[in-house]
Amino acid sequence: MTDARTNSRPIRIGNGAGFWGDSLDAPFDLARDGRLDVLTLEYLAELTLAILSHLRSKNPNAGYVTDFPPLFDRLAPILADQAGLKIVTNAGGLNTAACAAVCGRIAVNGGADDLPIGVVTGDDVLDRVASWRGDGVSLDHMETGESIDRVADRLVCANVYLGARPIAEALGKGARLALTGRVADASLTLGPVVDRFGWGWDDWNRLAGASVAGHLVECGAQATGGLWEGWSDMPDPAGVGYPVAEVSVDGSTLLTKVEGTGGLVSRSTVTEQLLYEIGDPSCYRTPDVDVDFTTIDLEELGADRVRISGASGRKPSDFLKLAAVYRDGWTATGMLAVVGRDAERKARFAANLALERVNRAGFMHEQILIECIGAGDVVPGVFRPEKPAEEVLLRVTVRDPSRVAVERFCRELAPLITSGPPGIAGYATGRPTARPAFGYWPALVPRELVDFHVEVRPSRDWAGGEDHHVD
Amino acid sequence: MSTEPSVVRLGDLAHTRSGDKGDGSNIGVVARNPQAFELLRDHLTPEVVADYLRGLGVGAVQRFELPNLLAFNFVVEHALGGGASRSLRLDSQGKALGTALLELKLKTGAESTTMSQELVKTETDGPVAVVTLARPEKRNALSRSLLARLRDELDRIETATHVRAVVLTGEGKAFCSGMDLKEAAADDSTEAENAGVAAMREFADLIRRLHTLPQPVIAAVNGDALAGGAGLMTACDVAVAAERARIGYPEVLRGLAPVVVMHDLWSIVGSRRARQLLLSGEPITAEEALRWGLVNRITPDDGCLAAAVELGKRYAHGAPRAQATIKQLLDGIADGSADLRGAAAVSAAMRGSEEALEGMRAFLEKRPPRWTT
Repeated sequence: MTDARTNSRPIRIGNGAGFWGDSLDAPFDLARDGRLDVLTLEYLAELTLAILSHLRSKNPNAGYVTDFPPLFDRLAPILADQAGLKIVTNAGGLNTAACAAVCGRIAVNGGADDLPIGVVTGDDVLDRVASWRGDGVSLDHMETGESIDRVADRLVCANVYLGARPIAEALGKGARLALTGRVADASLTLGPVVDRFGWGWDDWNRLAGASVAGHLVECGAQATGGLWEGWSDMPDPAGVGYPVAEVSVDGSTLLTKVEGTGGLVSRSTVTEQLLYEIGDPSCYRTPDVDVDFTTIDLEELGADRVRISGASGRKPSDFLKLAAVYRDGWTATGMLAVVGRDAERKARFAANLALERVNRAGFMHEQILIECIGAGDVVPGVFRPEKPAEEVLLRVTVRDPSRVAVERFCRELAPLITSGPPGIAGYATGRPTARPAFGYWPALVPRELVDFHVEVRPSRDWAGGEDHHVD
Repeated sequence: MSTEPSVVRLGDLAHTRSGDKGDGSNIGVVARNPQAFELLRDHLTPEVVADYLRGLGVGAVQRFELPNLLAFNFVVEHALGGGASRSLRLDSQGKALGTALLELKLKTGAESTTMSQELVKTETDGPVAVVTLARPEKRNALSRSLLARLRDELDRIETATHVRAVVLTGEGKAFCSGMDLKEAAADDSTEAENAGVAAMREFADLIRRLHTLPQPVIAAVNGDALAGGAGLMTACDVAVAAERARIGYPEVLRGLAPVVVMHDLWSIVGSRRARQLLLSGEPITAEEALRWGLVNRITPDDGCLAAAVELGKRYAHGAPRAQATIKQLLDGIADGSADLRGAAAVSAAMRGSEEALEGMRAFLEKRPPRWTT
C-alpha cells in the first residue's frame, strides 16, 4: 500500500469502556496519559439497544449512549492538545446522528468548529425486516432454529453487526471522532489498525491478529486484572489501568497498560480474557474475519507487557449476525433479607406467601423465580454452602405479559414485613417497580443485503440539529 | 488398611473465566502448568463438567482444546435458565459459573499415569486416618500440588465422622524438608512470583486447617522435619518422633523466616528456645525436642508410625465434640486473644451437652462411654 497515511509504526489503541456503566475516569485517564493513537469505547451489550429503543420511543432525539457526550466534553480539550488522537466508539447506539449533533455542539462550544466527526450507519435494519421476510429471507433464531414469526410484530430493534470497514473509511476520511451504532466489538480496534497499515480486507492472518487485540481490550479492565484469579495480590486494584494494545504491522500485538496504573497484564490475565465469551476457539467469528485462537502464542516481555502473536484467519461467512430484540411483557424483582435459624426455609415460605396472595387476588405469572442468595442459589443446584445459611437474601422475580399482574406482585412483598415469618428485614429498600422485559433474537442475514454508510463532516455541520438523519 | 482414591480440586490445577453465549455459557479453564494440562485433558472431560453442573439443568457440554495456552474452553448449553434476556436469575450471564467450577473435585484415580506419583496417600486403620506425604525422592518437599492434595485430604477427613484421629507422616527417610524451593525458584517471572505468593498462602491455609480440624492430629516424625516440615509437625496437636529425626528452622540461613508457624513454636517451647531455633537456624535432635516439649515421645526409628497410630486409637476414646471444642479453645489461648469469660460460658454449656451426660452416666454405671459421631 502506498497511501501517504500508512506507516509501519505500531498503533497504540486503548479501550476505556467495556460496557455502558463502566468507569467514568478510565477513558479520560487513558486519553490523557496513554500516548494513544486511538481511544476506543465499547458501550453496547446485547440488551443495551433494547433499553435505548425504549428511550427513543419516548423521545425521537434519544437513543444514543447518554454517558458519552459528558465524557466527550472532558475529552475534547485532550483531542485539541493531541493532534494525532482519535476516538472510535459505538456510543451512537440507535441514533448515531443525534449523538453526533450533541457532540458537534460540544466541540463547537469548546472552540473546535471544524473537528471532523464521522458517523457510521446502516446497522439499524428494523424497518427492513418485514420486506426481508416477504422476500423469503430466513431470520430463524440462531440457537433454537425457531421462526421469527412469533415475535416479528413485537420487535423493538434489529441491528446487524457491522465490521471494521466503515470505521476505517471514516478515519480514512479524516474523522477524529468516529461514531457508530452496532458493530462487532473487535472491529472497533480493527478499523483503526487497517486505516493505519492499509492492509487488504483479505489479509486474513493480520486481520485476525488485530481482531484478537480487539477481543482482548473490548471488556476494559478484564484484561488488566479485573476478574483475575489473583485478585487479592495485584498492585493498586483501585487504580486499575485499562488495556492498551500496540498492534504491529505484522498483526501481532503487545498488550500493556499505562505506566503507573494499577492492576496487572500477565500471561495469566491475558489467557483468561482470551477465553472470555468465546465458542469454538478455532473459529471466533467477526464480520471481518474468522479467527483461529488455537495458533496463538503468548510471551511475557516484562512487567505488564505480553506479546500475542500467531493468530490465523480465514474468510468469514457470507452472513452477518443480526441482533434483534422483541418486547416480552413486564418484569419486576424484589428483595428482602432473612436472618436466623431456618433462614432459607423462612425465605421460601415468605416468597410463597406473597405469591399466594397474588394468586388469591386473581393474578398468575408466566414466569416466577425464587432465589435465596447465600444458600447456594447464585449457581443453583451446583454450589451450596456446607452448613445451613443463617442469613439469606431473598430475591423474587416475576415476568408476565400483563403489567397489572406484575404490579400486583410489586405490592405484595412489603406486607411480609408485618405478616410474614420473623426475621425479615429490608423493606426500606422500597417497593419493586415493574419494568419492560425484552427477549433477544439472534439471527443471520446474507451479507449482500446490508449496506453501510459513512459520513464525515466538521463539527459545526453536525451541531446544526438532532433532526438531521443520514440514512 | 484401605487406600482411598486421589481427588484434586480443580482450582488447584487451573483458573477459570466464564460468561454468556446466549442461553449457553462458556467456561475457559487455564491449567497452571503442562502437567496440570495433561491431567485435565484426561480427567476434566465434558461429561465430568456436565455432571458437576447437572443441577443447573444444562444441556450438552462441548470441550475445545488450546494447547498453546494450556487451556480448554467448555461451551455449556442451556446453562442460564433462558439466557441473558429471558433468564430471571441473578446471575443471568453465567459470570459465577467459572468460579463455581473451581470447586469441582476431580477424581484422578490412583492409576493415573500422568501424575508421576500420588503425592499424598491416605489409609485408615480403625478410627485412625494415616495421611502420608508421598514424595520421598524430594524428601517430601511441599510443592503446591502436594499442599493442595494435603488440604483436600484434611477437608475430606473433617466430614468423615468415622475418622477420630489423624496421623501425619512422611514416606521414606524424611518427614518433610519444607517448601519446594526448586519449584519456587523456577524463574523470576511475575508468574513464578505470584505462584510463590500463592504457595505461601496455601501453606498458611494448611496450617490453619490443622488447627481447625476437629480431630486430634498426631505428627509421626519418621525422619528430619525441617523448615516448613518442622512447621507442619509443630502445628499438629501432638508429635511422636523417631530417634534419628532432627527438627529445625533453617529459614534464617536462607534469609527467610518461618512466619506462619512462629507463633505455634513460641507457644510450645517458650521464647528462649524459639529464639535459639529461629535465630540460629540449627536443628535440634529428637531427644532435645523431647526435653523441650516439642515432641511428646521418642520411638525407635522403625516404630514411629506404629506408635502414633496406637496413640491415635487411644485418642479415639475421647468424646469427639469435646475434643473439637478443646482444640478450638486452646487455639484461642495460643492466639493470645482468648476470651476467658467466653471459655467459661462454653464450659458451662458443655456440662449440659449430650456427651457430658453420657460421660456422667458411663461413670456411674462403671462402663465405657459410647460416643456418638
